[in-house]
Amino acid sequence: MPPDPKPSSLVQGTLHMLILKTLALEPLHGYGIGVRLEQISKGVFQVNAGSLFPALRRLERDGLIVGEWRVTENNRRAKYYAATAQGRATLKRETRDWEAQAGAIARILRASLGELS
Amino acid sequence: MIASRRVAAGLAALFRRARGERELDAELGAFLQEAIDDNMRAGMSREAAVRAARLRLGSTAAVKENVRDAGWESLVDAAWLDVRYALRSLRKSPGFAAAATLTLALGIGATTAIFSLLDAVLLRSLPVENPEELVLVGGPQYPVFKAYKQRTHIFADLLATSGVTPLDVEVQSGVRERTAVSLVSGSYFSTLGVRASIGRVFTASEDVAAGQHPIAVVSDAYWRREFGGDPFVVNRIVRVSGTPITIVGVAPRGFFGEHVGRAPDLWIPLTMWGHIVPGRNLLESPGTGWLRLIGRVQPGVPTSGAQPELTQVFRRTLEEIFGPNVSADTRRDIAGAAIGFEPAARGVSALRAQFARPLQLLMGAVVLVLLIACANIANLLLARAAARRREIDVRLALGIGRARLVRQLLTESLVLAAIGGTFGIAVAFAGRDALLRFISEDGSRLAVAAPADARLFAFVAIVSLATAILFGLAPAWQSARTRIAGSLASRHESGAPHRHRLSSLLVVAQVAISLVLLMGAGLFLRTIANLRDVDLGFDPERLLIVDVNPQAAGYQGERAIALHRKLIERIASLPNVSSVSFAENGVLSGRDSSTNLMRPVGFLEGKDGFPRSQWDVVGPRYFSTSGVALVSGRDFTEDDVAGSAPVVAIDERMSRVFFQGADPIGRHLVWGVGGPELEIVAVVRDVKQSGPKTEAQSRFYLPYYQLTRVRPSWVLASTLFFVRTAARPVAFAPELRRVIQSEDPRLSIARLEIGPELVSRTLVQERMVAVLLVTFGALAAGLACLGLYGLIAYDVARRTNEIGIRMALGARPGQVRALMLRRALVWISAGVGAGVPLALSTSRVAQNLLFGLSPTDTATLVVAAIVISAMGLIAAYIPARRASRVDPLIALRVG
Repeated sequence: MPPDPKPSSLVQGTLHMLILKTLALEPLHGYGIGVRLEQISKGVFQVNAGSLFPALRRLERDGLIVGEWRVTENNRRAKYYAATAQGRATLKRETRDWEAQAGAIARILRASLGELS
Repeated sequence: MIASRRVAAGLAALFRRARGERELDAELGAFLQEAIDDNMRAGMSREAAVRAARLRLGSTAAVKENVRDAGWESLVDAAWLDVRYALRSLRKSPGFAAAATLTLALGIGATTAIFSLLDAVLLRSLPVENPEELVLVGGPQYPVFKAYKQRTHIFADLLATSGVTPLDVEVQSGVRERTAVSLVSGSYFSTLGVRASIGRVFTASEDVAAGQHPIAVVSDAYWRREFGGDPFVVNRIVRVSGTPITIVGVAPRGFFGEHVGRAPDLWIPLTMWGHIVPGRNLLESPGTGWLRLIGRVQPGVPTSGAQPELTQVFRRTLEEIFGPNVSADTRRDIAGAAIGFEPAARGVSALRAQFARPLQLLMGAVVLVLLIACANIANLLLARAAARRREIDVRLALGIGRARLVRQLLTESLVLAAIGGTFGIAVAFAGRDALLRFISEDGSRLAVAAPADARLFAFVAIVSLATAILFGLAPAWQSARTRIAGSLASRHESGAPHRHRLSSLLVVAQVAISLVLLMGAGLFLRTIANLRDVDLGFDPERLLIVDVNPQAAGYQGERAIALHRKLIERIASLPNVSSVSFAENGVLSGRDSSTNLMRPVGFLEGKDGFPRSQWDVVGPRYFSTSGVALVSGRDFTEDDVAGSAPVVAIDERMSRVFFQGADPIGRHLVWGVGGPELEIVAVVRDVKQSGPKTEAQSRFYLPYYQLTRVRPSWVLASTLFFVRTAARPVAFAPELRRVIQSEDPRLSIARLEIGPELVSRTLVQERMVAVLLVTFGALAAGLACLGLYGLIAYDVARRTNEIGIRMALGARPGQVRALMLRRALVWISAGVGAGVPLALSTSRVAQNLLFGLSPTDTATLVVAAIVISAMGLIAAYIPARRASRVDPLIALRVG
């Protein structure tokens, strides 16, 4: 059984990175972002609206994403978000940092006494 | 970058709130619709799809709340909410709000008033260009000033000023008024970097020729007062000591000269001295030090490098002035002189020397009062918190965060402090004006730069904020940290024990601090009493001192003597006058002269030169008129004239210095070398010429009518008349003026003062401190008693039930009273116990301001302790008596 994937259990700031990633792939509206995150993570991350929208607001305010009202495939109006150039740059930097940290943590967790000598 | 964008976005959100809300609503709606569509596509029924979608979205309100909290502007919203809540809850308890606001207004107002004075007198820089570059330079002689300018390159600019001299000025013809005039070098305004607001200021060309520059710059205040702010004031002519002077400009508003507390009305070039200032022409008296020099140092000149050069120029100039035949004294003075400079950014000020310590002391005292006020409000808040226990517990139970609760309660304190601070500003202005009038010499408001500016408001804001935190934090913290369950279940306040410990501590501290302030008040009251008991050596009661100044009206030499004789005669013929005389300086005039040239014939110079004595030129019957007791010999008479044998009177101290106890009557003194021999005809008591705080000094007196023979070169600058009246002098001035002006209409009475008033004026500093310390002490003790009263009253209310039971079981009212008073006694004793060492250690700061008693004076401390204990017990007795009158039946039924 997968661990209880409350968004709050996400590492602080990770949600921003994940949203930026999905939006760097293609512009999406709020609901779409949630669904996409769920799909990619194979259901591990379920992002609720109470976390998603504040995160979107912050990203928009910091100029990392921009929103635009468009017609959806269901023929409704929704606000689509897309990553800006600045957003992509931030994502690149954060991805690199994350990989470095995750690699380091993984090495520490795998460490045995033999490797240290 | 991001930070500035966040600020901008936050502001935009604040001002376009409605639009943001609409957009968010639309976005959430779209979210829901997409979710429903999605769910139905996955095969759910519409109903199930809607429910699942709603579940996914969660509470719309919560989402919106979260989004709002994402930006900093949400804090503004929350703060505004808290402020409104605080105002509402304060409105609900107007008594508490009024008491707290009044206490704070008094506390903050008093603190601000003292601070604004301290700031004006001690801290604030001169209102000139780059004041930090200004230096005060030693070397007060006019030729030295010129030499500095011509022979050195140390100063970029250098000014000389005579300070403030009172002179007769006529703006309208015939109306003479004593006006504060400052004679300054042409470089005065350029050195300070002050430009005229109308017309022009002086230039270097005004330094050139003596008597050729009859022009003046007037102060802004004088321009408004005397000329009604006339924009065409330039080229108007005023008469200064009778000389026509043309106004060339008006100084900018707020510029009060270089001397804090002495603002001149007119500036006139120094070169005019001989024409407008009666007495000796100091411009032609090269060796006399009478100027104040302030300069701006050339960039790159180090302070240390300038000193030897200045000293050298100073010595060389003085040697040139005095020539080779100088006395040993003068040679020593010149050789020993080391000229340097000190920072002058804050101007020069006798006021600073006089009031620095007292103001610092009062600042400390007023902060103590503010602390007591804070303690009182903290106690009120604690009581209020206890009363609001249930409300707060309910809110805690409903899930308000403790941090949020503390924030809300602190907001209430801040609102209180803000209201208190606002009223405090009004209190501060009134208090400051009263204080300025109090310490100024002539009853007018003292001219110091104490404007109501941003600096003052910043101070009020900071003090209010600090007090709010001081009195609000503990109660807020206490409210938030209690357990909920117990207190909601029982109807007794579970916060009580905590509240009690903190409250008692506050009351004990209040008593202790009050003791310190009362002790201070006592010390200064006794200082004043001691100063009043000082034997002055003369009698100020029923003594009038009248500045007629015949010299300003042009009287000199024999004509002046004739006028003095006539004036004495005419004033003496007035009803109620028992005696009249005059003096060049005289008692309580604040003026004095000194010399080391008067000595017995053949007296040899000691290692330190000749002994110095103060001296005065006086009229007939001066000693009996001023009440200086004759030890032996006779008073001066009308017959001590140029034609009779020259005489002199000396005081006991001078008699001791020169004759070591032998009877000096009939012996002779001589002025310098080769002067006429003066027979000593009187020995008089030592006088404290300038009031109780002055040291008595060796002193001798010469009769005025004989002066032309004894010291032909001595020209009197002015004379003061001394009138002893038979009854209390009431409204004597009009009659005196009539008599004097009937003799010569050009004569004016510049000032008329009565002896006791002049004596008390010398005590103005002690009186100010005493009055304020008594006020602060009373305020502090009153607040402490209020705190004590509140605490006992609360205790009585809380224990009504218990008291009822005790009385039902047979306790007598006296026992109940004792029960309640015992607590008060414990608190008072603890407060006094803590206060005694506190008072003893802090009273030392007043050391130099006290007179005739030690700062750790035991009697004063004991009295202060008794006063605060008695006041405290009375305050506690009122609720204790109420307790003893509890009707057991009612108490038990209601409880």
